[in-house]
Amino acid sequence: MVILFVFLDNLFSLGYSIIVVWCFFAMAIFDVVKKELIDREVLIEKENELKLVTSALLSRGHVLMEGVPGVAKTYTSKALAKLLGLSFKRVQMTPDLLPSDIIGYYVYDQRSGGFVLRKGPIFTNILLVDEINRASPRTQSALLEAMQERQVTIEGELYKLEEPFMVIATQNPVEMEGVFPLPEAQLDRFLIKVVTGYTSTKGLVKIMKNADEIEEAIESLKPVIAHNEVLEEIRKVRYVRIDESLYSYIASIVEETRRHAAVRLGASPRAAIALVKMAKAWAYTSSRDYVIPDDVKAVAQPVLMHRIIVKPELELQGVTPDKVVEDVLSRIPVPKP
Amino acid sequence: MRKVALFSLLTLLLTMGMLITAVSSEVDRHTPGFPQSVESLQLPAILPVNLSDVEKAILELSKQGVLSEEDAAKLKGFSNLSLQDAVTRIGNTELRNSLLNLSNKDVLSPDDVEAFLNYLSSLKTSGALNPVDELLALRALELLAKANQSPYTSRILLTMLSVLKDLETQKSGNLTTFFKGSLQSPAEKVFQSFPTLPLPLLQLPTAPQLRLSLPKIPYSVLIIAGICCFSTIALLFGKRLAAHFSKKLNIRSIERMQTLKVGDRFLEAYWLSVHIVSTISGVKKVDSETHREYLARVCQRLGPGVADLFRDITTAYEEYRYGFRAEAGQRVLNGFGKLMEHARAST
Repeated sequence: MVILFVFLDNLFSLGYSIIVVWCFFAMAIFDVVKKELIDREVLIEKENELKLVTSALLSRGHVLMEGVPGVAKTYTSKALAKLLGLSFKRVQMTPDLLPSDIIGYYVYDQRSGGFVLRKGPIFTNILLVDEINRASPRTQSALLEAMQERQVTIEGELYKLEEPFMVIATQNPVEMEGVFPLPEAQLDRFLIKVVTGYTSTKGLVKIMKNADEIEEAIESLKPVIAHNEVLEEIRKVRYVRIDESLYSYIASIVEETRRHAAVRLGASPRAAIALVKMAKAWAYTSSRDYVIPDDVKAVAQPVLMHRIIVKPELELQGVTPDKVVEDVLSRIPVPKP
Repeated sequence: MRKVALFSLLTLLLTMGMLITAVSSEVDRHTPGFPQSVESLQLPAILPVNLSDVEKAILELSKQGVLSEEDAAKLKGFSNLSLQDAVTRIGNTELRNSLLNLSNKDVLSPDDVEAFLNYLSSLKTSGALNPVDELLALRALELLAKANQSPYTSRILLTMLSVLKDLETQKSGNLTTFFKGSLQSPAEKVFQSFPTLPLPLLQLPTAPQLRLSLPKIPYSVLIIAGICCFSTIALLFGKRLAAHFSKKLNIRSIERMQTLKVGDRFLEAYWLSVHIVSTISGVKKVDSETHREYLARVCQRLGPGVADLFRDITTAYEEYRYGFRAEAGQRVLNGFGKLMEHARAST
């Protein structure tokens, strides 16, 4: 009787585990995105970038994309928004752009005889802010406040932004004239920084051959996940398990960035939180409900890179934040046993 | 590594070749059959032969009956003979006159001595000269040469011995014990090297031997070369042998190992598996390396069977350690058991 009970108990627990795991990954968001965009070659050689942006979305974070013009930054954001059934808007930043141009303003309506709210492009799910460093500091501040608070205040009235809300800001690393570089405090608001590079020769040939088809494919993309399902995915990521030792591992990495000889300003506690969130989201997009040290390492560069300021004299010698992070990762021991 | 070893071996060989060349430069560089140097053509300045040796030889020959009583009487007191006595005792008138003419010269030049010796030789060849007269003439010449401090004294003494040797050879047919016993070794060597014909009495240089032996290499060079050879061989093959034995020892040490002091047998099984694969492959896990990073690195050096086994163990370990799935622990343990069997079989 006891044996039968134990057998049934094991069977049920195993079955329960299978059901839980199946439920957990039945709607694995990245698998869908990958299948539609990468496997169908709508986006070529952008799997890592796409996975990072998806993870940032699931972590309720914002993305700073750095790359020269013409490396599919807009396409990536647009395609992701369309696939996930989310609203998408784009703002091209210029120095004369006002905060009200982004968040919205009240206008007098002659028919009603009162003021009506004209919402700005910030009232969307995914907002692509092109060349964020071209906007004036005032406009940048208004945007970054909205990013942090997930709400805007217009004429004293508070408006909550719709979830999910993600800003994908781009900046050109080459142009330095007529720009207002983002201060460190504002850079810290971005969960990750994704550096988008050029594709390989093979990839470039594919892009040239299918340029028209790619454009059509992006325009004709249909949502594969409903809006509420995305919110459910975001909720699930919070329950991804992370071992106690990995918290210590992340803490060691963050602290080491502050102690590093080449660093003037290291990663903040917000960076540590971002690292935990992103590691969880990365594990989730890798179809796992638990974080492993590889997840932490995979997201450490994008999370920490823009939060570290290298000493100017060493910067001149070619030391970059990504090299610092690489060095830190090569020194911090992975949890044992 | 192999390229480095081969390069060092080649360097070693080149160094050894240069050393051998340097040492072998001391080898004689002359045409076989010719004297090695001009010095060897000159007569030895000092020969360990003196007049008493000649007198001893005369006495010995007299005892043996090689010399007749009359001849022995003529040669009596040979070493103490004066020029006049020596000349008086010579039977050959022509020779006696020649000697008197020679003695009348104020200075005796080397050409005069050479000419007189040639004259004696010609007389001997014609049969007009007996050995006793020759010895007496040589004694007189020796006295004249000594008076003029000529370097030919030793040559004259050697010629005397040569005459006595010929005399004995003619009488007995072979060398007697006298020449073997009374003459000292260096003199004997010189004597034996004389040609059969009495004149010219120049000491012929010994024919140079062809040296086929290897040049002498200093011991220090040999020791250094030996150490270098040993190091190169050890570098080429030692690591493999050492790795083989250490692999055996390490895997056996796992069997004896009680626990890894982790407190969890599943986790212990994974870390022991890491130990085994690192022993098999020679790829150690770095502390900052994640389990997957190590897996990717070590799999390049493992066979497909072991690589798959270790991949399963790593996946199960991650599920157990970070995913909190208890059932994965058993998979780690099973994988470890299979890995141990494989390790035992392969070593």
